Amino acid sequence: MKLDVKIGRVKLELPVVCASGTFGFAEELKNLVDFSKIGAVITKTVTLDMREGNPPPRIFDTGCGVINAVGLENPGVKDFIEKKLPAMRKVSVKYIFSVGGFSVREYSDVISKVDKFKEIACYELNLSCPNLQLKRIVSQDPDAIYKLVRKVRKETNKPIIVKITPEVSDITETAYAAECAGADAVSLVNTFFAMAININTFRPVLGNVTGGYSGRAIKPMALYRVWKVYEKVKIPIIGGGGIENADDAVEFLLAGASIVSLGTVNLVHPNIANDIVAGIKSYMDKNNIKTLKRLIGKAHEK
Amino acid sequence: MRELTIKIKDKKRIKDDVFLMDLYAPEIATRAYPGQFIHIKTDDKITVLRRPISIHAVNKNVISILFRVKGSGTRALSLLSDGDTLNVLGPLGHGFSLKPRKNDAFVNILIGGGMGVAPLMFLAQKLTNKESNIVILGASDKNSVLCEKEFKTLNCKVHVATDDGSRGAKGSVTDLLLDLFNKDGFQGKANIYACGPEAMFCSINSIIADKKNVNCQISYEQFMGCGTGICCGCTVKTKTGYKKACKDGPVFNIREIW
Repeated sequence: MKLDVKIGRVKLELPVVCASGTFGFAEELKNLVDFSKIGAVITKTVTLDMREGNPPPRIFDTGCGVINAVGLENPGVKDFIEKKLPAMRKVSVKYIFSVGGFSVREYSDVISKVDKFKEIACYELNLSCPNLQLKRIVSQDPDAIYKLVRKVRKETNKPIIVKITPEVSDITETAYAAECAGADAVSLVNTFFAMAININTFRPVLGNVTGGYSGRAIKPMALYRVWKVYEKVKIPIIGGGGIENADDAVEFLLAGASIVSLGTVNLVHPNIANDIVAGIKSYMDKNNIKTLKRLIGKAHEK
Repeated sequence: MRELTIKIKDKKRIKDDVFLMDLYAPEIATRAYPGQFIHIKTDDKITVLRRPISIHAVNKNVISILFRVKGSGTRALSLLSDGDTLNVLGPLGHGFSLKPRKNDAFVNILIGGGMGVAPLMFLAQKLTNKESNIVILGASDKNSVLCEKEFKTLNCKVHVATDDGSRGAKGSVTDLLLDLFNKDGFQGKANIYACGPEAMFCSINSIIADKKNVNCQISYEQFMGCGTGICCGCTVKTKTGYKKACKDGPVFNIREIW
């Protein structure tokens, strides 16, 4: 059974990807993970300059989800090229390079520096980090998304995926803005705004005070957004949020995701993509669904 | 390092809220060194992330963990029984450096504040010249002192401090450390290995600040995500920037942090 799927002109052999920030640059996990069962790894977001990230503590387990406030800690594009990329070449997997920035210019600059590397198959524009102390996240504003994606579109011929925040009143507007600007796919969802307070110290748990919520608790909310966006846009959706097993993944495919992304679960079971791919296949077998295309968005059929 | 399923061989409640668990784990036992930890997945209904627990001791194919029930993860762990299995990653982390100084004049001092004793037993098992190893244990009262007998069995010289003076000296482990330096001095030459609360690290640091020949490694705790260095969740602030407790640590040189 073939499960390949396309983002623009790039073909992924499998419709399961590892979400940005939950798989490093893949090379860190080379002794632990079977990469042949992963459609692509979306790298940790890289910005123009290195970022130290937020003060600790940065991560908290609520028992049904995880709140994080890492704050885009990353080596910056120069060190990425010099130190990370050579190690990434030793791992046989497709890479989607996640780009972050604080201005339209910065996104373009980062891409212009890495565009020549053939290891990078596509870009994911991270327009949705909740932990940057900005007044507004780019992907909360359809006009801002449109302008940024239009500009970046001119920098590269590689496919562009736009990762958007769920924290908007209508996510179909922001997804549609990305599509109109020339994005090849949209990726949703990033984390939901969240926090936790330590009742013994009277203080917020996270060093950054607030963070972004992920994990199983957000699955129904993420699924809803994939469902809505599927009705609005024609480009493929990379859908995820709290997926922990093959049944969860199938739900996202039925809701309209062409590709599912695994996030928080990677932190616990780094090899889970193997099980999820196998589970999707056996689900399709059992239900006599011959191609992935038949499965994508099937729940919308009346 | 792999994701492993290991079996609980023996679980003992050694205090009201402290458990000692023996796990059959040859793959970990042969590769682990003191200061490293295993990353344990407990009941999915209670926790999402794994919980890092330091390796307390290793005996042939069996590793032991010693933990206090403090939150949801350790509570879930404490409810398991002999014969149950655990999903773990490990051994993980950068542990204690055991490299003895060229000069044998250096004395090893192991300081465990409360549950901080957990990683030190494995260390005491591995250190040579056990007779000259000094162990300082701190607890709130006599009922909370952990592992005193076990360290004595390893021929360590054990000193105990309790907050209320009900066992050993009244006061803190760092009072005892200061006493040792004042009385004995070791010519100012010592390797300290410490684990405990942040306040304890702070006072150790001020005691040794002017002692150039005292080296101090500490095992530092932080909320942790993946345990493998990818999520950047368990950041520790050091003098040279943020580091990862799971990969750069959990053992750091105290002078890196204070």
